[in-house]
Amino acid sequence: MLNVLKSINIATFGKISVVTLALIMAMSVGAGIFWVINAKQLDIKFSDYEKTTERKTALLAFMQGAIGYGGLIHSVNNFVLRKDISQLINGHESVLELDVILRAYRQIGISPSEEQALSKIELVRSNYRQALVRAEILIRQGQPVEEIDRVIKVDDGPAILALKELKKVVAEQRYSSIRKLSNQVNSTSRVVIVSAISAGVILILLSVLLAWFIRVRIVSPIVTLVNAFDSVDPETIDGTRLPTSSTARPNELGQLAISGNRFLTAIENQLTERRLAEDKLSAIVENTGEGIVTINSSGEIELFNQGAEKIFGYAASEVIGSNVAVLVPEAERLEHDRFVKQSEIHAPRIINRSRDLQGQRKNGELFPLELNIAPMEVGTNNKFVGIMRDVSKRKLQELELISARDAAEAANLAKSEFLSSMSHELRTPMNAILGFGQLMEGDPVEELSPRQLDYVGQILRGGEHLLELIDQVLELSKIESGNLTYSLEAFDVIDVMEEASAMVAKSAAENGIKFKNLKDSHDKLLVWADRSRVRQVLLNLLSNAIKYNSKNGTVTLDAEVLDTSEIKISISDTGYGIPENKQAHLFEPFNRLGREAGEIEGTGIGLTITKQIVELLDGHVGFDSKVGEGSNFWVTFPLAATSQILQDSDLLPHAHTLAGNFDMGQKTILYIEDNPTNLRLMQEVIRQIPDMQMLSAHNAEIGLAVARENKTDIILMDINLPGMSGIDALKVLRTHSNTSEIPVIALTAAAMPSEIAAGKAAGFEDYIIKPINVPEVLSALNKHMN
Amino acid sequence: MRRLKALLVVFGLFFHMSPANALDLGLTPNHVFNIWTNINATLELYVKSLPRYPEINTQFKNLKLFKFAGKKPSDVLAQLHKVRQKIHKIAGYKENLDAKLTLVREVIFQSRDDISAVTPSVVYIHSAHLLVEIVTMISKRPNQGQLISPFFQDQNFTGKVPSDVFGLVELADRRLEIILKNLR
Repeated sequence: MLNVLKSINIATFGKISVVTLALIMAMSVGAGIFWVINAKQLDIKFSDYEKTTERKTALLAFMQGAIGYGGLIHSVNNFVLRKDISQLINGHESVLELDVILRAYRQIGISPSEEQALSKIELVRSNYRQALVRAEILIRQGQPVEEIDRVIKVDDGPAILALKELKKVVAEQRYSSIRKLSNQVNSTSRVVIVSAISAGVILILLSVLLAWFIRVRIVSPIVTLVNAFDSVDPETIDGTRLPTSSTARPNELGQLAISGNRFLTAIENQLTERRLAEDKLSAIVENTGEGIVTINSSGEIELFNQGAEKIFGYAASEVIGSNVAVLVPEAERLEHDRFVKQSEIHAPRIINRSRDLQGQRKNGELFPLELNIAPMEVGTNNKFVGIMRDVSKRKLQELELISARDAAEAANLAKSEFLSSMSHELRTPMNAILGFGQLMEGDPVEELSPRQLDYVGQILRGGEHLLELIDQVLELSKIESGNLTYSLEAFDVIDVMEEASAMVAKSAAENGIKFKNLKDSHDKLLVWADRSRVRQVLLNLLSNAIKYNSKNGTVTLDAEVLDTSEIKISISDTGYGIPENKQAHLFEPFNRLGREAGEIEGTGIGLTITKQIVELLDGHVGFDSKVGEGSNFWVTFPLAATSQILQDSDLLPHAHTLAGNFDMGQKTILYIEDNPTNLRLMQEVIRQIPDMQMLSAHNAEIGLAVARENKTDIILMDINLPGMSGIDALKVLRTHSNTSEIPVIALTAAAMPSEIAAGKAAGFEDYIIKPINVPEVLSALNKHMN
Repeated sequence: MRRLKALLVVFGLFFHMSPANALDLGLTPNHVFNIWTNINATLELYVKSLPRYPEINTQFKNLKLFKFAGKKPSDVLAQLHKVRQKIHKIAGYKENLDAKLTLVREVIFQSRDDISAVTPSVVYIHSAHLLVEIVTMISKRPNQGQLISPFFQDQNFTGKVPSDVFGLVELADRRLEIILKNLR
């Protein structure tokens, strides 16, 4: 039995207890209800018995009144003796009354003995009634009282006896009913008492059982578990396990022990893993090349790894517990200490940020240090971990790199200055060549013969090409800086192809190259691009096709319209071709694919510039080449849309006259220029303008004096003047009242973008770059003098 | 005479529990009918003592017994009270203590049972009481050699219903009305 109880788990035992208690309560409540119902029924029965006996007793009293002394016998006797009619009526009333009483008694419910007694009374009642009737008749007849009394005599003895019998029966009935009720009360009480005792006994047994169960199955195992838990070493667990139940079916506490053992196993495994991880982490910390130092919130060193030992020269045991300031140069220790104390304020600037500092080794040597500090929260303590490395070598390399960079920047600056100077120096003579060429070509006084015009035209185009070559060199620097400029317009690319062909025709002939321009098969092909840039591209490709052709080879120029609304211009040659392994490097700057040592001259930047320009104009460039057969280079440009063509006024025919429409009366122009050729050129240009006289000065100082002393309508100013520069002269002009309003146009060979920007910022009304375009100069003069 | 009335109160208290327990002593409309036959007989005797007996007797004889249907004991009782009032007028009763007590008992009795609790037994007791009153009243008139006891005799009627009883009560009422007119 005990084994069975021991095998019951706590939850089942709880359920059994609850069910048993519920049964006890049900028994108690049932007994109570049983008692209440029985009591109610007993009460009703008792009430019924009481009423019945009360009624019968009352009716018996009435009967006593009717047949007893003063009743019927009294009425009859008085009537006979006194002849009182009221006594007769009284007697009849008593008879009626007795009849009703007897009926009422029977109505309550009677026993046979009662019925027997009532019948006797009933008989006496009838006799009295007959006696009353006879007495009245005899009295009417005048019979003597004695005779009447004899005749009507009624024996009421049986009625009296019957009345006594009835009283006795009623009394017995009362006693009997009380006894019966008493028995029922006793029976009900017995049931209730037995139920209460049973419930009490069961309750006591259950309480004892519960106490035993709690002690054996709950308290004892809990104590065992607590003791077992107390014996577990929280640091290691060390294989300790909780005792589990010895029974086949362990209860909840047994299950708890099993779960606890699983928990201990898991913790033990985790502790083992953690130890391994700590060992691994410790090995990493100790063996890493970087120094790792942890400090607490007071700045005391708590960890100092081998890396830190190597960097600072201290053994860990020497510095652990010391203030971290020992690792800082002595001059900075005070400041460092303040930083540590105010770490919360300075944290945003130092936490998780790599900083370069100076460290101090044990031997006092200072060295550059890269430090990264991270906060650590260990429990409620705030700590910091610093990861550092000696960056002495890196710093040295950085210094070398900075030195190299400075050198490169200086070289670059020198290059820019060289380019600027070259640009200026080349443009100055070109100004004379192209300027006078233009004057000769458009001289209305001494008109040239057609042949002379052709020669002058060749001079001008050659000069312009030379100018463009200069620009190409300069543009390399622009491309490198991303400042290449262009101007989109709609123009006939066939014209440009013709121009380019003409410009290279002589060169082709000189090299024995046949030149085929297939443009004749096209009427007019309008593209949306920069005319000058397109020509530059074509000249470059044609020039290459001629240069790298074979003797007596052929260069073919062709154009076709593509489905993609583009024009494709192809330049084919019959030259050496390009080996496949070098084709990928063709557009790289300054890469001549091994021709550097050859007799063909070149810079190696032409194709680079070409590719940049074409792509800038939304076009594409490409080539096909076979060694021994030649190469075919092609470029595409977008076709001009109709709307773009209509907006471009340059396509409309217009007259080119050098003088233009000057009609402004006598005017004076001052040209400040140190180059005599340029002065001469401008004199010739100005001469073509009626009523215009030109004053000149070969430096700024003289120019300023001339401007102040003469009425000057407009000034043309060179910028690179000996002594005061053109920009400084402009400032002086603007400060004098009689010269401040004179429009000043810059006319200079300073064509670098930075120079142009500086000139415009200085306040020149216009900025014309040499070599001059005569119509451009005349247009600017006309514009600003008006 | 008061004892019969007192019985009503006693029985009323005993049997007031519910209509089912209402006063029912096994007395039927046959018994009540017997009483009212006797009451009508007393009224015929009573007119003989009046000065204008022949004329009144002629009026009496001209009165017919009406047939009623659907009457209940309560209807009979209500009609009975009308008859009682007339008898009291004829007898020249005045309000006295005894009458008041009787009235109170009736009130108690009737307040303890609704109208449906009026059984033939209740009507019987009231009727018997009234019979005693009339006989007492007659006994006080000049003696005409008429016997009293026959008015209390039992006749074995059968098959009577409350409507038959009501007819006799209503006849008695009309007869008393004639008597009252001839008394003025």
